[in-house]
Amino acid sequence: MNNKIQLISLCALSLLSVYAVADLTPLNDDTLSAHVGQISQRAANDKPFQVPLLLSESQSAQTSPQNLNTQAPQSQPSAGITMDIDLQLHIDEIRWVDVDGAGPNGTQGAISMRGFSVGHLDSPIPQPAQIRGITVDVDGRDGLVIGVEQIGDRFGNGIDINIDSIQIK
Amino acid sequence: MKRTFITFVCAMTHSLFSFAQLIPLDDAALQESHGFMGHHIAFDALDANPPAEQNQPDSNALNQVSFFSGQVHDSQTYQSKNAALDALTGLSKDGLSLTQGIEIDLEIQASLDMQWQDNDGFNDIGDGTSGSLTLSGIHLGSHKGPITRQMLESDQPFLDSELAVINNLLIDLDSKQGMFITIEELGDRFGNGLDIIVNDIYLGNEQASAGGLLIENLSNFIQDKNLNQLNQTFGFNLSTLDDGKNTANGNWLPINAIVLTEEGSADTSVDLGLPSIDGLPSISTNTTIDASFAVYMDKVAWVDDGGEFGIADLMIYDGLDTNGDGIDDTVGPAKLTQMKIETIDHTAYNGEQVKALYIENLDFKADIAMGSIYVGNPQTGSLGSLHIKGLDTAGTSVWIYAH
Repeated sequence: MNNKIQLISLCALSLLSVYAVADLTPLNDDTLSAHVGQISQRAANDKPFQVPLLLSESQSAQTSPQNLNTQAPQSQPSAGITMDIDLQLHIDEIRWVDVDGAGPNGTQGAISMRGFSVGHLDSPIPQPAQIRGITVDVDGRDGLVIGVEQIGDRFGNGIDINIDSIQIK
Repeated sequence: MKRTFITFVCAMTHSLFSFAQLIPLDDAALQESHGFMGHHIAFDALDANPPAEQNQPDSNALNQVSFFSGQVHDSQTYQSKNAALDALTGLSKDGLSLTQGIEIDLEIQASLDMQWQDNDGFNDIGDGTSGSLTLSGIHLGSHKGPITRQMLESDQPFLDSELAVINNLLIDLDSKQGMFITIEELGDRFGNGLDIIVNDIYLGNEQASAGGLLIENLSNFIQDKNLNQLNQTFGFNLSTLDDGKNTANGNWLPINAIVLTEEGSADTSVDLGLPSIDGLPSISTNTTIDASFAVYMDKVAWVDDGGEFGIADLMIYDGLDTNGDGIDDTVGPAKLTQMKIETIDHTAYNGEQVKALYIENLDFKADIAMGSIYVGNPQTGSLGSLHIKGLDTAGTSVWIYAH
Protein backbone atom coordinates (compact mmCIF):
# COMPACT_ATOMS: atom_id res chain seq x y z
CA MET A 1 0.00 0.00 0.00
CA ASN A 2 2.78 2.34 0.93
CA ASN A 3 4.63 1.58 -2.29
CA LYS A 4 1.53 2.41 -4.31
CA ILE A 5 1.14 5.76 -2.55
CA GLN A 6 4.82 6.49 -3.10
CA LEU A 7 4.60 5.66 -6.77
CA ILE A 8 1.52 7.85 -7.30
CA SER A 9 3.16 10.72 -5.43
CA LEU A 10 6.34 10.39 -7.44
CA CYS A 11 4.49 10.41 -10.76
CA ALA A 12 2.29 13.36 -9.77
CA LEU A 13 5.19 15.43 -8.58
CA SER A 14 7.34 14.55 -11.58
CA LEU A 15 4.59 15.73 -13.88
CA LEU A 16 4.41 18.96 -11.93
CA SER A 17 7.74 20.13 -13.37
CA VAL A 18 6.63 19.24 -16.88
CA TYR A 19 3.64 21.54 -16.61
CA ALA A 20 5.58 24.33 -14.95
CA VAL A 21 5.78 27.24 -17.40
CA ALA A 22 7.20 30.77 -17.27
CA ASP A 23 5.61 33.65 -19.11
CA LEU A 24 7.75 36.66 -20.11
CA THR A 25 5.67 39.75 -19.50
CA PRO A 26 6.54 43.26 -20.71
CA LEU A 27 7.92 45.75 -18.24
CA ASN A 28 5.63 48.58 -17.31
CA ASP A 29 6.59 52.22 -17.86
CA ASP A 30 7.73 52.80 -14.29
CA THR A 31 10.13 49.88 -14.41
CA LEU A 32 11.41 50.87 -17.85
CA SER A 33 12.07 54.44 -16.76
CA ALA A 34 14.32 53.14 -14.02
CA HIS A 35 16.73 51.74 -16.63
CA VAL A 36 19.21 54.11 -18.27
CA GLY A 37 21.32 53.36 -21.34
CA GLN A 38 24.39 55.08 -22.65
CA ILE A 39 26.03 55.07 -26.07
CA SER A 40 29.61 56.21 -26.25
CA GLN A 41 31.35 57.07 -29.49
CA ARG A 42 35.05 56.52 -29.81
CA ALA A 43 37.23 56.83 -32.86
CA ALA A 44 39.30 53.92 -33.96
CA ASN A 45 42.41 55.29 -32.30
CA ASP A 46 40.44 55.99 -29.10
CA LYS A 47 40.58 59.78 -29.48
CA PRO A 48 37.79 61.70 -27.77
CA PHE A 49 34.70 62.56 -29.74
CA GLN A 50 35.02 66.07 -31.15
CA VAL A 51 32.55 68.89 -31.66
CA PRO A 52 30.61 68.41 -34.91
CA LEU A 53 31.70 70.70 -37.71
CA LEU A 54 28.10 71.68 -38.40
CA LEU A 55 28.10 73.91 -35.35
CA SER A 56 28.81 77.48 -36.28
CA GLU A 57 31.75 79.27 -34.73
CA SER A 58 29.60 81.23 -32.32
CA GLN A 59 27.72 78.11 -31.32
CA SER A 60 30.98 76.27 -30.82
CA ALA A 61 32.25 79.02 -28.60
CA GLN A 62 29.12 78.89 -26.47
CA THR A 63 29.15 75.15 -26.13
CA SER A 64 30.71 73.85 -22.98
CA PRO A 65 33.19 71.07 -23.79
CA GLN A 66 32.56 69.53 -20.40
CA ASN A 67 28.86 69.22 -21.09
CA LEU A 68 29.55 67.34 -24.29
CA ASN A 69 32.24 65.24 -22.64
CA THR A 70 34.61 66.42 -25.36
CA GLN A 71 37.78 68.35 -25.87
CA ALA A 72 37.64 71.40 -28.09
CA PRO A 73 39.88 71.26 -31.15
CA GLN A 74 43.05 73.30 -31.03
CA SER A 75 42.07 75.33 -34.10
CA GLN A 76 39.11 75.60 -36.44
CA PRO A 77 39.41 73.20 -39.36
CA SER A 78 39.77 74.73 -42.77
CA ALA A 79 36.66 74.84 -44.92
CA GLY A 80 35.83 75.60 -48.49
CA ILE A 81 35.01 73.85 -51.73
CA THR A 82 37.39 73.03 -54.55
CA MET A 83 36.23 71.69 -57.89
CA ASP A 84 38.10 70.20 -60.82
CA ILE A 85 36.15 69.98 -64.06
CA ASP A 86 36.66 68.12 -67.29
CA LEU A 87 34.49 70.24 -69.57
CA GLN A 88 32.96 69.16 -72.83
CA LEU A 89 29.92 70.87 -74.24
CA HIS A 90 28.10 71.02 -77.53
CA ILE A 91 25.05 73.04 -78.54
CA ASP A 92 23.46 72.62 -81.92
CA GLU A 93 22.08 76.16 -82.04
CA ILE A 94 21.77 79.25 -79.86
CA ARG A 95 19.18 81.66 -81.19
CA TRP A 96 18.48 85.13 -79.84
CA VAL A 97 15.19 86.54 -81.09
CA ASP A 98 14.20 90.22 -81.09
CA VAL A 99 10.44 89.94 -81.36
CA ASP A 100 9.67 93.52 -82.33
CA GLY A 101 12.74 94.21 -84.46
CA ALA A 102 13.99 97.78 -84.86
CA GLY A 103 11.84 100.90 -84.74
CA PRO A 104 8.06 101.29 -84.41
CA ASN A 105 7.34 99.20 -87.51
CA GLY A 106 10.11 96.70 -87.00
CA THR A 107 10.05 93.04 -88.00
CA GLN A 108 11.08 90.16 -85.84
CA GLY A 109 14.72 89.20 -86.31
CA ALA A 110 17.17 86.69 -84.91
CA ILE A 111 20.84 85.86 -84.61
CA SER A 112 21.77 82.18 -84.61
CA MET A 113 25.04 80.55 -83.64
CA ARG A 114 25.24 77.01 -84.94
CA GLY A 115 27.59 74.24 -83.93
CA PHE A 116 28.79 75.76 -80.66
CA SER A 117 31.41 73.49 -79.06
CA VAL A 118 33.60 73.82 -75.97
CA GLY A 119 36.37 71.41 -75.00
CA HIS A 120 39.72 70.21 -76.29
CA LEU A 121 38.89 70.26 -79.98
CA ASP A 122 42.33 69.84 -81.58
CA SER A 123 42.10 66.10 -81.85
CA PRO A 124 39.86 64.37 -84.41
CA ILE A 125 37.64 63.20 -81.59
CA PRO A 126 36.74 66.05 -79.21
CA GLN A 127 38.04 65.60 -75.69
CA PRO A 128 37.16 67.40 -72.45
CA ALA A 129 39.12 70.52 -71.55
CA GLN A 130 40.65 70.73 -68.09
CA ILE A 131 39.76 73.32 -65.48
CA ARG A 132 41.50 72.68 -62.16
CA GLY A 133 41.21 74.27 -58.74
CA ILE A 134 37.97 76.23 -58.83
CA THR A 135 37.81 77.37 -55.22
CA VAL A 136 34.68 78.64 -53.49
CA ASP A 137 34.81 80.37 -50.09
CA VAL A 138 32.53 82.72 -48.24
CA ASP A 139 34.34 85.28 -46.13
CA GLY A 140 32.85 87.53 -43.46
CA ARG A 141 34.75 90.49 -44.87
CA ASP A 142 35.20 89.70 -48.57
CA GLY A 143 31.89 87.95 -49.27
CA LEU A 144 31.72 85.13 -51.80
CA VAL A 145 35.20 84.45 -53.18
CA ILE A 146 35.62 82.29 -56.28
CA GLY A 147 39.01 81.50 -57.74
CA VAL A 148 40.28 79.44 -60.64
CA GLU A 149 43.81 78.03 -60.40
CA GLN A 150 44.34 76.37 -63.77
CA ILE A 151 42.54 76.59 -67.11
CA GLY A 152 43.98 74.03 -69.48
CA ASP A 153 46.79 71.58 -68.88
CA ARG A 154 50.58 72.04 -68.52
CA PHE A 155 51.14 71.11 -72.16
CA GLY A 156 49.46 74.25 -73.40
CA ASN A 157 46.12 72.70 -74.18
CA GLY A 158 43.55 75.25 -73.05
CA ILE A 159 39.86 75.48 -73.69
CA ASP A 160 38.86 75.48 -77.35
CA ILE A 161 35.62 77.19 -78.39
CA ASN A 162 34.31 76.62 -81.88
CA ILE A 163 31.25 78.07 -83.63
CA ASP A 164 30.48 76.58 -87.02
CA SER A 165 28.40 79.51 -88.29
CA ILE A 166 26.66 82.71 -87.26
CA GLN A 167 23.51 83.63 -89.12
CA ILE A 168 21.38 86.76 -89.03
CA LYS A 169 17.80 86.22 -90.07
CA MET B 1 6.44 7.40 5.40
CA LYS B 2 9.93 8.87 5.51
CA ARG B 3 10.62 7.63 2.01
CA THR B 4 7.41 9.26 0.76
CA PHE B 5 8.41 12.56 2.29
CA ILE B 6 11.91 12.45 0.74
CA THR B 7 10.45 11.64 -2.67
CA PHE B 8 8.01 14.52 -2.32
CA VAL B 9 10.76 17.00 -1.39
CA CYS B 10 13.02 15.85 -4.22
CA ALA B 11 10.23 16.21 -6.74
CA MET B 12 9.36 19.69 -5.50
CA THR B 13 12.94 20.92 -5.56
CA HIS B 14 13.37 19.51 -9.07
CA SER B 15 10.94 22.08 -10.47
CA LEU B 16 12.58 24.85 -8.47
CA PHE B 17 15.94 24.18 -10.07
CA SER B 18 14.53 23.93 -13.58
CA PHE B 19 15.40 27.09 -15.54
CA ALA B 20 15.92 28.32 -19.09
CA GLN B 21 18.53 30.83 -20.24
CA LEU B 22 18.07 33.16 -23.21
CA ILE B 23 21.31 33.30 -25.17
CA PRO B 24 22.11 35.63 -28.09
CA LEU B 25 22.03 34.28 -31.64
CA ASP B 26 25.35 33.96 -33.37
CA ASP B 27 26.08 35.74 -36.69
CA ALA B 28 25.27 32.72 -38.82
CA ALA B 29 21.88 32.32 -37.23
CA LEU B 30 21.19 36.06 -37.52
CA GLN B 31 21.97 36.06 -41.23
CA GLU B 32 19.37 33.37 -41.74
CA SER B 33 16.74 35.57 -40.15
CA HIS B 34 14.98 38.20 -42.22
CA GLY B 35 12.91 41.09 -40.98
CA PHE B 36 10.14 42.93 -42.76
CA MET B 37 8.79 46.28 -41.80
CA GLY B 38 6.45 48.76 -43.42
CA HIS B 39 4.34 48.51 -46.45
CA HIS B 40 4.28 45.94 -49.12
CA ILE B 41 6.32 46.67 -52.22
CA ALA B 42 6.89 43.62 -54.35
CA PHE B 43 8.61 43.50 -57.70
CA ASP B 44 9.93 40.63 -59.72
CA ALA B 45 12.47 40.81 -62.48
CA LEU B 46 11.02 39.02 -65.48
CA ASP B 47 12.62 36.43 -67.66
CA ALA B 48 12.87 37.13 -71.36
CA ASN B 49 9.85 34.92 -72.00
CA PRO B 50 7.86 35.01 -68.82
CA PRO B 51 4.92 32.74 -68.22
CA ALA B 52 1.62 34.55 -68.53
CA GLU B 53 0.64 34.11 -64.91
CA GLN B 54 3.82 35.87 -63.73
CA ASN B 55 2.38 39.23 -64.68
CA GLN B 56 -0.71 38.81 -62.59
CA PRO B 57 -0.78 41.23 -59.70
CA ASP B 58 -1.04 39.80 -56.21
CA SER B 59 -4.52 40.82 -55.17
CA ASN B 60 -3.75 40.15 -51.52
CA ALA B 61 -0.78 42.47 -51.56
CA LEU B 62 -2.87 45.22 -53.10
CA ASN B 63 -4.79 45.54 -49.88
CA GLN B 64 -1.80 45.82 -47.60
CA VAL B 65 -0.76 49.40 -48.21
CA SER B 66 -1.97 52.40 -46.34
CA PHE B 67 0.75 55.02 -46.55
CA PHE B 68 0.18 58.63 -45.61
CA SER B 69 -2.18 59.90 -48.25
CA GLY B 70 -0.74 57.37 -50.65
CA GLN B 71 -1.93 54.11 -52.07
CA VAL B 72 -0.72 51.18 -54.08
CA HIS B 73 -0.79 51.82 -57.79
CA ASP B 74 -1.78 49.18 -60.28
CA SER B 75 1.16 49.17 -62.64
CA GLN B 76 -0.76 47.64 -65.51
CA THR B 77 -3.12 50.59 -65.62
CA TYR B 78 -0.24 52.96 -65.06
CA GLN B 79 1.94 51.45 -67.78
CA SER B 80 -0.75 51.30 -70.41
CA LYS B 81 -1.68 54.90 -69.69
CA ASN B 82 1.91 56.06 -70.07
CA ALA B 83 3.37 53.60 -72.53
CA ALA B 84 3.96 56.22 -75.21
CA LEU B 85 5.43 58.64 -72.72
CA ASP B 86 7.66 55.95 -71.23
CA ALA B 87 8.99 55.28 -74.70
CA LEU B 88 9.86 58.96 -75.01
CA THR B 89 11.74 59.10 -71.74
CA GLY B 90 14.13 56.29 -72.59
CA LEU B 91 13.71 55.05 -69.03
CA SER B 92 12.01 51.85 -70.04
CA LYS B 93 10.62 49.53 -67.44
CA ASP B 94 10.74 46.62 -69.88
CA GLY B 95 11.59 43.34 -68.24
CA LEU B 96 10.35 44.51 -64.90
CA SER B 97 7.00 43.56 -63.50
CA LEU B 98 5.95 46.60 -61.52
CA THR B 99 3.08 44.92 -59.82
CA GLN B 100 2.86 47.18 -56.81
CA GLY B 101 4.45 50.32 -55.52
CA ILE B 102 3.78 53.38 -53.47
CA GLU B 103 1.77 56.27 -54.84
CA ILE B 104 1.74 59.52 -52.92
CA ASP B 105 -0.26 62.69 -53.39
CA LEU B 106 1.12 65.72 -51.61
CA GLU B 107 -0.26 69.12 -50.77
CA ILE B 108 2.65 70.95 -49.28
CA GLN B 109 3.69 74.32 -47.94
CA ALA B 110 7.11 74.78 -46.37
CA SER B 111 9.41 77.48 -45.03
CA LEU B 112 13.05 77.08 -44.06
CA ASP B 113 16.44 78.80 -43.89
CA MET B 114 19.70 77.35 -45.23
CA GLN B 115 23.22 78.34 -44.27
CA TRP B 116 26.63 77.12 -45.40
CA GLN B 117 29.30 78.08 -42.91
CA ASP B 118 32.93 78.62 -43.98
CA ASN B 119 34.86 78.77 -40.72
CA ASP B 120 38.11 80.18 -42.09
CA GLY B 121 36.68 82.32 -44.87
CA PHE B 122 39.00 83.15 -47.76
CA ASN B 123 42.10 81.86 -46.04
CA ASP B 124 44.65 82.30 -48.82
CA ILE B 125 47.23 84.13 -46.66
CA GLY B 126 45.92 83.08 -43.29
CA ASP B 127 43.81 86.12 -42.51
CA GLY B 128 40.39 84.87 -43.55
CA THR B 129 37.28 85.75 -41.63
CA SER B 130 34.55 83.27 -40.88
CA GLY B 131 31.65 83.74 -43.27
CA SER B 132 28.49 82.10 -44.44
CA LEU B 133 26.28 81.73 -47.47
CA THR B 134 22.72 82.07 -46.26
CA LEU B 135 19.41 81.58 -48.01
CA SER B 136 17.01 83.25 -45.62
CA GLY B 137 13.30 82.68 -45.90
CA ILE B 138 12.86 79.90 -48.43
CA HIS B 139 9.13 79.45 -48.96
CA LEU B 140 7.35 76.79 -50.99
CA GLY B 141 3.66 77.08 -51.84
CA SER B 142 1.32 77.87 -54.71
CA HIS B 143 -0.34 81.23 -55.28
CA LYS B 144 -3.08 81.47 -57.88
CA GLY B 145 -2.13 84.91 -59.17
CA PRO B 146 1.18 86.62 -59.90
CA ILE B 147 3.66 86.84 -57.02
CA THR B 148 3.67 90.38 -55.67
CA ARG B 149 6.50 92.46 -54.24
CA GLN B 150 4.87 92.24 -50.81
CA MET B 151 4.93 88.47 -51.02
CA LEU B 152 8.62 88.49 -51.95
CA GLU B 153 9.43 90.43 -48.80
CA SER B 154 7.05 88.64 -46.46
CA ASP B 155 7.97 86.03 -43.87
CA GLN B 156 4.65 84.31 -44.63
CA PRO B 157 4.01 84.91 -48.32
CA PHE B 158 1.42 82.18 -48.74
CA LEU B 159 -1.99 81.79 -47.12
CA ASP B 160 -2.57 78.53 -45.28
CA SER B 161 -4.77 77.40 -48.15
CA GLU B 162 -2.13 78.07 -50.83
CA LEU B 163 -0.60 74.62 -50.98
CA ALA B 164 1.68 73.31 -53.70
CA VAL B 165 0.23 70.20 -55.28
CA ILE B 166 2.25 67.12 -56.23
CA ASN B 167 0.05 64.30 -57.46
CA ASN B 168 0.95 60.73 -58.34
CA LEU B 169 4.44 60.52 -56.92
CA LEU B 170 5.20 56.88 -57.67
CA ILE B 171 8.03 54.90 -56.09
CA ASP B 172 8.97 51.46 -57.38
CA LEU B 173 11.87 49.33 -56.22
CA ASP B 174 13.84 46.59 -57.93
CA SER B 175 16.84 44.78 -56.53
CA LYS B 176 18.64 44.75 -59.89
CA GLN B 177 17.47 47.90 -61.65
CA GLY B 178 17.28 50.23 -58.68
CA MET B 179 14.64 52.67 -57.51
CA PHE B 180 12.18 54.18 -59.95
CA ILE B 181 10.74 57.55 -59.00
CA THR B 182 8.02 59.12 -61.10
CA ILE B 183 6.19 62.40 -60.58
CA GLU B 184 3.21 62.53 -62.88
CA GLU B 185 1.76 65.89 -61.89
CA LEU B 186 3.66 68.84 -60.47
CA GLY B 187 1.06 71.55 -59.92
CA ASP B 188 -2.54 71.53 -61.07
CA ARG B 189 -4.11 71.35 -64.53
CA PHE B 190 -4.83 75.10 -64.55
CA GLY B 191 -1.16 76.03 -64.71
CA ASN B 192 -0.75 76.70 -61.00
CA GLY B 193 2.60 75.10 -60.31
CA LEU B 194 5.01 75.35 -57.41
CA ASP B 195 6.05 78.82 -56.30
CA ILE B 196 9.44 79.12 -54.58
CA ILE B 197 10.43 82.37 -52.90
CA VAL B 198 13.79 83.12 -51.28
CA ASN B 199 13.47 86.38 -49.36
CA ASP B 200 17.17 87.15 -49.03
CA ILE B 201 20.56 85.75 -50.01
CA TYR B 202 23.49 86.75 -47.83
CA LEU B 203 27.05 86.31 -49.06
CA GLY B 204 29.71 86.42 -46.38
CA ASN B 205 27.77 88.02 -43.56
CA GLU B 206 24.16 88.89 -42.88
CA GLN B 207 24.53 92.66 -42.85
CA ALA B 208 23.44 93.23 -46.44
CA SER B 209 21.23 91.13 -48.68
CA ALA B 210 22.36 90.32 -52.18
CA GLY B 211 18.70 90.07 -53.21
CA GLY B 212 16.12 87.34 -53.39
CA LEU B 213 15.05 84.61 -55.77
CA LEU B 214 11.71 83.77 -57.32
CA ILE B 215 10.57 80.69 -59.21
CA GLU B 216 6.94 81.09 -60.23
CA ASN B 217 4.66 78.24 -61.32
CA LEU B 218 7.14 75.42 -61.77
CA SER B 219 5.15 72.62 -63.39
CA ASN B 220 5.39 69.67 -65.75
CA PHE B 221 1.98 70.49 -67.20
CA ILE B 222 2.76 71.96 -70.62
CA GLN B 223 -0.14 74.27 -71.44
CA ASP B 224 -1.17 74.70 -75.06
CA LYS B 225 -1.25 78.51 -74.77
CA ASN B 226 2.32 78.66 -73.46
CA LEU B 227 3.58 76.26 -76.12
CA ASN B 228 1.82 78.23 -78.84
CA GLN B 229 3.49 81.39 -77.60
CA LEU B 230 6.93 79.79 -77.78
CA ASN B 231 6.13 78.34 -81.21
CA GLN B 232 5.24 81.78 -82.41
CA THR B 233 8.35 83.39 -80.95
CA PHE B 234 10.82 80.87 -82.30
CA GLY B 235 8.98 79.70 -85.41
CA PHE B 236 8.50 76.17 -84.16
CA ASN B 237 5.62 73.77 -84.62
CA LEU B 238 5.91 71.82 -81.41
CA SER B 239 3.08 69.91 -79.79
CA THR B 240 2.76 67.73 -76.71
CA LEU B 241 2.00 64.04 -76.70
CA ASP B 242 -1.42 63.05 -75.37
CA ASP B 243 -0.96 62.07 -71.75
CA GLY B 244 -4.01 59.79 -71.88
CA LYS B 245 -5.80 61.68 -69.14
CA ASN B 246 -8.13 63.73 -71.32
CA THR B 247 -6.61 66.85 -69.82
CA ALA B 248 -7.93 70.07 -71.32
CA ASN B 249 -5.59 72.85 -72.46
CA GLY B 250 -2.37 70.85 -72.28
CA ASN B 251 -0.66 67.61 -71.36
CA TRP B 252 1.42 66.28 -68.49
CA LEU B 253 4.95 65.07 -69.13
CA PRO B 254 5.98 62.80 -66.25
CA ILE B 255 9.26 63.34 -64.43
CA ASN B 256 11.18 60.07 -64.16
CA ALA B 257 14.32 59.06 -62.32
CA ILE B 258 16.15 55.79 -61.76
CA VAL B 259 18.70 55.57 -58.97
CA LEU B 260 20.86 52.46 -58.86
CA THR B 261 23.54 51.80 -56.26
CA GLU B 262 26.18 49.17 -56.96
CA GLU B 263 29.08 47.89 -54.96
CA GLY B 264 32.32 49.46 -56.10
CA SER B 265 35.91 48.28 -55.99
CA ALA B 266 37.71 48.25 -52.68
CA ASP B 267 40.24 50.94 -53.54
CA THR B 268 37.54 53.55 -54.05
CA SER B 269 36.13 53.26 -50.56
CA VAL B 270 36.31 55.98 -47.97
CA ASP B 271 37.65 54.98 -44.57
CA LEU B 272 35.18 56.38 -42.07
CA GLY B 273 36.84 54.60 -39.20
CA LEU B 274 33.86 52.33 -38.73
CA PRO B 275 34.36 48.73 -37.66
CA SER B 276 33.73 46.00 -40.21
CA ILE B 277 30.45 44.22 -39.63
CA ASP B 278 29.88 40.86 -41.20
CA GLY B 279 26.73 40.61 -43.24
CA LEU B 280 26.42 44.31 -43.96
CA PRO B 281 27.08 45.62 -47.48
CA SER B 282 30.30 47.44 -48.20
CA ILE B 283 30.22 51.22 -48.06
CA SER B 284 32.33 51.23 -51.21
CA THR B 285 29.52 51.92 -53.63
CA ASN B 286 28.74 54.06 -56.61
CA THR B 287 25.40 55.46 -57.56
CA THR B 288 24.13 55.79 -61.10
CA ILE B 289 21.32 58.22 -61.87
CA ASP B 290 19.17 58.38 -65.00
CA ALA B 291 16.49 61.03 -65.19
CA SER B 292 14.13 62.60 -67.68
CA PHE B 293 11.89 65.63 -67.28
CA ALA B 294 10.20 68.50 -69.05
CA VAL B 295 9.23 71.52 -66.98
CA TYR B 296 7.78 74.94 -67.59
CA MET B 297 8.20 77.99 -65.35
CA ASP B 298 6.38 81.28 -65.70
CA LYS B 299 9.31 83.11 -64.20
CA VAL B 300 12.78 82.60 -62.73
CA ALA B 301 14.11 85.86 -61.39
CA TRP B 302 16.66 87.54 -59.18
CA VAL B 303 14.84 90.17 -57.16
CA ASP B 304 16.63 93.22 -55.77
CA ASP B 305 14.93 96.14 -54.05
CA GLY B 306 11.67 95.36 -55.81
CA GLY B 307 13.25 95.20 -59.26
CA GLU B 308 13.72 91.98 -61.18
CA PHE B 309 16.16 90.47 -63.61
CA GLY B 310 15.03 87.15 -64.91
CA ILE B 311 13.69 84.76 -67.46
CA ALA B 312 9.98 84.50 -68.24
CA ASP B 313 8.30 81.56 -69.96
CA LEU B 314 11.18 79.16 -69.41
CA MET B 315 10.77 75.62 -70.71
CA ILE B 316 13.37 72.87 -70.34
CA TYR B 317 12.65 69.92 -72.60
CA ASP B 318 14.09 67.97 -75.53
CA GLY B 319 12.56 68.47 -78.96
CA LEU B 320 11.88 65.22 -80.81
CA ASP B 321 11.58 64.60 -84.51
CA THR B 322 8.95 61.86 -84.58
CA ASN B 323 8.25 61.82 -88.34
CA GLY B 324 11.84 61.94 -89.58
CA ASP B 325 11.57 65.20 -91.52
CA GLY B 326 14.51 66.76 -89.67
CA ILE B 327 12.34 69.20 -87.74
CA ASP B 328 11.45 68.78 -84.09
CA ASP B 329 7.71 68.40 -83.71
CA THR B 330 7.13 67.00 -80.21
CA VAL B 331 8.02 68.16 -76.72
CA GLY B 332 9.96 65.32 -75.15
CA PRO B 333 11.79 65.18 -71.85
CA ALA B 334 15.32 66.44 -71.22
CA LYS B 335 17.55 63.52 -70.23
CA LEU B 336 20.30 62.89 -67.75
CA THR B 337 21.96 59.62 -68.72
CA GLN B 338 24.10 57.26 -66.65
CA MET B 339 25.48 59.90 -64.33
CA LYS B 340 27.71 58.17 -61.76
CA ILE B 341 28.45 59.53 -58.32
CA GLU B 342 31.13 58.00 -56.10
CA THR B 343 33.84 58.96 -53.65
CA ILE B 344 37.38 58.33 -54.87
CA ASP B 345 41.05 59.09 -54.28
CA HIS B 346 41.97 62.09 -56.40
CA THR B 347 45.11 64.10 -57.17
CA ALA B 348 44.28 67.76 -56.64
CA TYR B 349 45.58 70.55 -58.88
CA ASN B 350 48.46 71.16 -56.44
CA GLY B 351 49.50 67.50 -56.36
CA GLU B 352 47.89 66.64 -53.04
CA GLN B 353 46.14 63.32 -52.65
CA VAL B 354 42.59 64.00 -51.52
CA LYS B 355 39.29 62.25 -51.15
CA ALA B 356 36.87 63.66 -53.70
CA LEU B 357 33.24 63.33 -54.66
CA TYR B 358 33.41 62.30 -58.30
CA ILE B 359 30.52 62.96 -60.68
CA GLU B 360 31.39 61.01 -63.78
CA ASN B 361 29.81 61.57 -67.17
CA LEU B 362 27.48 64.48 -66.54
CA ASP B 363 25.61 63.59 -69.72
CA PHE B 364 22.70 66.02 -69.95
CA LYS B 365 20.79 66.59 -73.17
CA ALA B 366 18.14 69.28 -73.43
CA ASP B 367 16.61 72.15 -75.34
CA ILE B 368 15.94 75.35 -73.40
CA ALA B 369 13.42 77.96 -74.50
CA MET B 370 13.35 81.36 -72.82
CA GLY B 371 10.35 83.40 -73.90
CA SER B 372 11.75 86.60 -72.49
CA ILE B 373 14.95 87.67 -70.75
CA TYR B 374 13.95 90.81 -68.95
CA VAL B 375 14.91 93.56 -66.59
CA GLY B 376 12.09 95.05 -64.54
CA ASN B 377 9.04 93.65 -66.26
CA PRO B 378 8.83 90.68 -68.65
CA GLN B 379 6.60 92.57 -71.09
CA THR B 380 8.07 96.06 -71.07
CA GLY B 381 11.67 95.29 -70.16
CA SER B 382 12.42 92.39 -72.47
CA LEU B 383 15.98 91.98 -73.75
CA GLY B 384 14.77 89.43 -76.25
CA SER B 385 14.09 85.71 -76.39
CA LEU B 386 16.67 82.95 -76.37
CA HIS B 387 16.51 79.35 -77.52
CA ILE B 388 19.23 76.78 -76.91
CA LYS B 389 18.85 73.71 -79.07
CA GLY B 390 20.69 70.44 -78.62
CA LEU B 391 22.58 71.14 -75.40
CA ASP B 392 24.82 68.12 -74.81
CA THR B 393 27.31 67.90 -71.93
CA ALA B 394 28.43 64.29 -72.50
CA GLY B 395 32.09 63.87 -71.48
CA THR B 396 31.94 66.39 -68.66
CA SER B 397 33.07 65.23 -65.22
CA VAL B 398 33.43 67.02 -61.88
CA TRP B 399 35.55 66.36 -58.79
CA ILE B 400 34.54 68.14 -55.57
CA TYR B 401 36.80 68.20 -52.53
CA ALA B 402 37.82 70.32 -49.55
CA HIS B 403 40.69 72.78 -49.25
